[in-house]
Amino acid sequence: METRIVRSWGVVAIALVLGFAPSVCEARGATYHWGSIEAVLYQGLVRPEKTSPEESIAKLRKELEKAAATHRAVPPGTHALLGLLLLDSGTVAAAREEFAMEKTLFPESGLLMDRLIQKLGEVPKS
Amino acid sequence: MNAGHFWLGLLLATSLVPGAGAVERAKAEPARPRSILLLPPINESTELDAGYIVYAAAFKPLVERGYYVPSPLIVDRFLKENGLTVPGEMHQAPLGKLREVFGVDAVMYLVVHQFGTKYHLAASSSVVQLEARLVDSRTGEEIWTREISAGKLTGLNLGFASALSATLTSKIAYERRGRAALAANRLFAQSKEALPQGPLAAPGKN
Repeated sequence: METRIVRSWGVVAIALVLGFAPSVCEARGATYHWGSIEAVLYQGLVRPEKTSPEESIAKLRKELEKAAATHRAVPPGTHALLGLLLLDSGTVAAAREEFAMEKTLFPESGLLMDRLIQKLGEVPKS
Repeated sequence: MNAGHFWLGLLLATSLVPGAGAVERAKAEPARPRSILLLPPINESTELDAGYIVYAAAFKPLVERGYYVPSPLIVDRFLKENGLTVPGEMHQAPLGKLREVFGVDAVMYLVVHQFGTKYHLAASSSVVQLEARLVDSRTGEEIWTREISAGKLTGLNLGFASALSATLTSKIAYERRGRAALAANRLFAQSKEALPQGPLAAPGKN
């Protein structure tokens, strides 16, 4: 009699944990690899005269490498920003690739990335 | 089969319904955007850079809440190239236009009411007052709003600054960044008035 009751509560406990596990995991969430990406943003927005596109490009590329090495995602806008900087320093083909990568990783960016790709003067592939 | 088994079975069945927790969240949040356009903040403080310092600092905590947020550098550049040269003008842009250009579900309007600092001999005291409004880009409905006053943050020990042995200018710059980051983090992520978590809260694993 007692074993049956214990077993029943055990099953209930497991069921509750399994049932709510997805929402617990969602709430926790893993973080992106940020590295010096925030510093690049700060420089660009507040002290643009103190940095160059080439410097920022180097920093972002370093962070992309680090993220890949540790199997972590980079934050939204990282590839897009790299694309914009590449455009500033004249490498249009590489810029286009970065905008396309941003769109692949974050479909939410699709509209804006298509617009930026179009502005590069090429026909966007869908 | 007895009544006990029936109720146990029912409890089991309902607790295994997928996203049982999500139903509760949906009731509390009428609109749940995937993407949020963070506009450059309007700066009402006496510190000239405060608006863009807060802009740079607000990006990470907003992203970490679980939303796609277009890169601030791209947004600022795009708006300026299209004739909206100051945050005041950017905040006046029609929602429909912003939605059309940036493809976002919602727009976050920030105002920096205060960012003031008083410098004393060995420390500084500051008050950061931020206000945020999140608006659905389709309906114009206000989804979330909050105002915080990040009390008195005394001293130059705000993480960034204490790591430096550089000039006072550098220390001040880092302290301001740290102050903005703390305030923005409090605004979006702390206590029960925090911005509800968005659908990107668990970002893709490679």
